[in-house]
Amino acid sequence: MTTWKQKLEGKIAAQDAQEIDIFEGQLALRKQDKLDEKVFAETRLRRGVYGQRYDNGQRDDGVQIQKLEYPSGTLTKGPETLWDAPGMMRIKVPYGGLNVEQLEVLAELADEYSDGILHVTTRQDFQLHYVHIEDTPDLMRRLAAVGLTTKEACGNSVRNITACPLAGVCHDESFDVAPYAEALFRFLLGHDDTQDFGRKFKVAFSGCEEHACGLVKMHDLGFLARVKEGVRGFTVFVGGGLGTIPYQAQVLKDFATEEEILPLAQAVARVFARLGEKRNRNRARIKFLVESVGIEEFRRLVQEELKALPHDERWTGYLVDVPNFQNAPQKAAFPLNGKPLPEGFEKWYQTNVYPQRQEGYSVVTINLPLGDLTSDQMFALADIARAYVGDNIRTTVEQNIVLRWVANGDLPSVYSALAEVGLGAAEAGTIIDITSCPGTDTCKLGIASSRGLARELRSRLAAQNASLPEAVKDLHIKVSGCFNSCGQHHIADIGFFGNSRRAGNHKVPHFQLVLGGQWEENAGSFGLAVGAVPAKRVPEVLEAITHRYAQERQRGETFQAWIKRLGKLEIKALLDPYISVPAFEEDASFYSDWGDSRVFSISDIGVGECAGEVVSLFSMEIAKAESRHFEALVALDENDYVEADQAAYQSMLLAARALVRSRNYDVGQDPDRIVEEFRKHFYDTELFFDKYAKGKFAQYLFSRHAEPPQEFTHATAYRQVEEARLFIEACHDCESRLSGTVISL
Amino acid sequence: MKRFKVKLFVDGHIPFDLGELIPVFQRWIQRRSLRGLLIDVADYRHVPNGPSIILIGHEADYAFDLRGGQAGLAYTRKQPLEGELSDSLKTAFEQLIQAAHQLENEPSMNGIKFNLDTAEITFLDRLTAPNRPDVFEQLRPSVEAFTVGWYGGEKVQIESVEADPRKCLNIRLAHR
Repeated sequence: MTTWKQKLEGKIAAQDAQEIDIFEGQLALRKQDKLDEKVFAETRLRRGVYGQRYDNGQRDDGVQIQKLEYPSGTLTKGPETLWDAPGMMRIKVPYGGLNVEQLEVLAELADEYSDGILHVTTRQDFQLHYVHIEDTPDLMRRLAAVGLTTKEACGNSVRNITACPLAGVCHDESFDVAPYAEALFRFLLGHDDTQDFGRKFKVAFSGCEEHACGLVKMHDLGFLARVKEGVRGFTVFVGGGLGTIPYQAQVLKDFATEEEILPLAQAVARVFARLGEKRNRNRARIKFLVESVGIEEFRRLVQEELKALPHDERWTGYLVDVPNFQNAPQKAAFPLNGKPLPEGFEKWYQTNVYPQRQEGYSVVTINLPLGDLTSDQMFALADIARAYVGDNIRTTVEQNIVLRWVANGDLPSVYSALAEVGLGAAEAGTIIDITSCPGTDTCKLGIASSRGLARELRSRLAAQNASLPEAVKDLHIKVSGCFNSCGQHHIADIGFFGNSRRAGNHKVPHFQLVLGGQWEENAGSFGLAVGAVPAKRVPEVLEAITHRYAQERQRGETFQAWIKRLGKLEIKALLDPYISVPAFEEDASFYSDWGDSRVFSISDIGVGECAGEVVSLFSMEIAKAESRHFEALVALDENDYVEADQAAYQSMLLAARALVRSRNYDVGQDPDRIVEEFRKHFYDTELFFDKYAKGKFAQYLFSRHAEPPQEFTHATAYRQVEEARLFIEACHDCESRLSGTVISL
Repeated sequence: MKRFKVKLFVDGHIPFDLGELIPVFQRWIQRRSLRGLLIDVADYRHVPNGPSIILIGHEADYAFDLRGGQAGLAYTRKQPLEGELSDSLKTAFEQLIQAAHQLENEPSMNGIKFNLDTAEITFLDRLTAPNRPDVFEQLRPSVEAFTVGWYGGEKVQIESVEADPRKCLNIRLAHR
């Protein structure tokens, strides 16, 4: 029977195909319990394969803790993460850029591997939920065939690089940042210098300073486009981040030219990898490193790294493609022609249409409820895009999708087509367009139901929409399920994050109210937590706050300014009537969360995979060697002696490289170099020698490297595979001796 | 064929608020009211013509499905079943019918009824069952074998109803 691997042969870039094969091999090894669960967990996270709530095999069903007994028993895909438990797959969409073909494949994957729903995240990614681990290699292949990747979407890696969805069409931008975001994405993806982080690393690009768009000031590394004396460049920010305590990024370099940004990013990565905290996960983001050493010292460290960096052609090689970066209409512009407009168009036009800088065109925002759409809607969207805009499609950090380069004359038709498939909701970017993380729906760290609350607020606000004052309509609401801020509540006018309070013998879901965050000025400042209210009272609290703001605001006064003027005491007084919780017997509804009939509990909170253990660079590297060796075994079984020999040899190179990188971080991929460095650092020094075998196993690598076989038979291939096995084992032993620890696999 | 969906349609209108399904499905999890491992309840009421509320399971999901603009109860098989396709369809329909009857008997469902004479089978596997006429003809004998057993040999119309080749092969059964 044909497999997806066979069907897509030749359609996936060779390196991507090989990496997916390696992952599939690692999956097989893990299934046989031949790969450490922590190593496998980090491996799969770096391929965008996440755990979900209840994957520890238990669930509070509202009456008792129920064991979830999967067929695979106690087999795990990570610490406390059962093999068969449904997981999440995160798909990277650099700067949010998509084409029509990609939309269609995403729709297919939602049908076949998930629950038929696609979810846009607050970092412009897509997520599919309830995915089985054994489906993930084919998912990756089908994505790779259309140029999408899940690589490093999760884990201690460079996450998706975000950028303004209006890049290239914005009135206020210095220039289109999308080609730079794309270049940096390609450069950093899988880069050696980004493999040894203690935590995740988030990067953003913005075309202008005053609007929200790129949110560079809340990122680990941010690039704000500027033109100085006719030269394109960026103000580079470092050390921002939300999380439990938000940090504003600081200026690393006032002006870096387009030639400088890639090596600069690489240097920052090296400093982070070298000096970032790795034991205490709660202090491992780069913001803590910058704070600890100070920005001046951090700049000096980065400069030092820059000087030591081996030259890389890619630093400037991408510039030749920048002028040709795809940003053009599919159709000629033509104006609205005065014909009758469809019902609902005018209201939709007010909020969902942004006239582009380019005369005659507009950007249309598709307001996705909680960032979700069905596969059917996605197919329809692909048809609409194909008809009107081609590949000019972007996701946004507000969990929406935009179509760019819509000819103004096409706006009514586009609206009608969207409305026909349930994608014509107005109020994009308004108070009704609430951003929310997945929360307790699927996240192991969720405390309260962020999506349940967001759904409820959205529904109520939509019902009140006609009567909402204009000043209130422009507010941003963001909801997180816990204090980790994946919903970005710190930069909302009105933010909420989930927590829990005790009332008698019960726990009650609450939300902490965070007021006065600044979305504008690239996440200019963060809101302050002002008090927790029961989840079921949040709608009343929202109404009280917005009503009072509408009544008291002075002409032109922003919500942020009003909050400051109101003061903490007054805010507390405003919340006081809403903080009490009735007894369970009086009103049990307070003791359940929004959209969940179970009695509320925090017993389902698990260990987040964002906060898993750091796995050593050697462990990650040697896991690749193990996978390649596994492929050698499979090839031998299938009597493919050429492949068995080749795979066995490559597994030895990978194992040698894993050791060498502890002595020469920049050894690269060249086999001659790897063997030379291995000889220099481990053979000539006798560090590789063990008590009995001495340097015998190293000779297996040297012999095979120096003299590839002339003929390939079962005997020669078998011997090569066995020698590779012994060499890899010797590498493990060597690392153990040198690090003073015992590693079990 | 690992993944496929079978769906029964609501007879008439939906006589309850979709949110009422949440406590029903949560209670089914508590009491393990259906075969297989039941895991969680997913709420997608906010998505137009979507799966509304899903009872997530390991072997299969149950959803009050609004897709295609037609409300119904859908059973999505996610783990392979032993035997021929006709046997798998029989097992799937048995489990779907059980869930449908349970739902009909829930007081909060206000007397909902499902039409047992019409059903839909969707093959969620574009590799082994792409949406093509020749594939439909290849699968037809297995589907017919199932309908003969299921409908006691009575006449059943079997037709492929999804014209878009990008979408999954979707077969409508109509028992006369």
